[in-house]
Amino acid sequence: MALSSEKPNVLEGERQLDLIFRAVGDRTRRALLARLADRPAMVTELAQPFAMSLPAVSRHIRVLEKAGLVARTVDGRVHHCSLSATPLKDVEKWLRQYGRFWEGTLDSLARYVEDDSEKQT
Amino acid sequence: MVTLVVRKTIRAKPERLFAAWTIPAQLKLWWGPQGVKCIGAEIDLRRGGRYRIANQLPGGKILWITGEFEVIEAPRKLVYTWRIEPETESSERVTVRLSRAATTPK
Repeated sequence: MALSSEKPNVLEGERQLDLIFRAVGDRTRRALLARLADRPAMVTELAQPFAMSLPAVSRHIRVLEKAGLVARTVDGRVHHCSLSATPLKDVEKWLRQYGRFWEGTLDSLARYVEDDSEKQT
Repeated sequence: MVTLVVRKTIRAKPERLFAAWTIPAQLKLWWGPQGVKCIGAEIDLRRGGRYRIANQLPGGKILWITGEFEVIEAPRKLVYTWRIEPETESSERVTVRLSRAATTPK
């Protein structure tokens, strides 16, 4: 979450998070990531376990690439893909910041209502 | 879509919590984690109605949280969109559920 004053590039960061969340919001793409977490692979290898055409798998990989989750290197006609996990750290950071915000906010609410119920009794 | 769920048991009636959450004069008294000051709140509590909350950060910077109510079921449930201005363009969704806790808090 963006309730932190020392993050200068918040907008860029938020956009990146949107891309990441969209990328991992699909079962096929999560399976591709899980496969790549094992070791890098060629696009053709990645396509194999899926009942999907090569262009369809390629489109999924492009979504992952745009989110920065997968890096693709081209060697002649062979495309190699590998996982790049750094953006997932951004997701973790977002969850931590948001979690902290809401936990803090609910603590404040508890203090507020529990205080005044004590005053009434 | 990613959903973050935060739960807390609070010793109060749902009606009391719902009022604290939806009446500006009350919200201003407690909103935000420690260090964040709520310096303004406007709430149009009806489906499609908008709200905005001014959050003053420790450094003095002000962030507005704005959005629109989608579901209002007093005193149990509230659903609204959530956007932080001027920082974000995409909006998120917040669901507040007030339900009876299985155990009484200490």
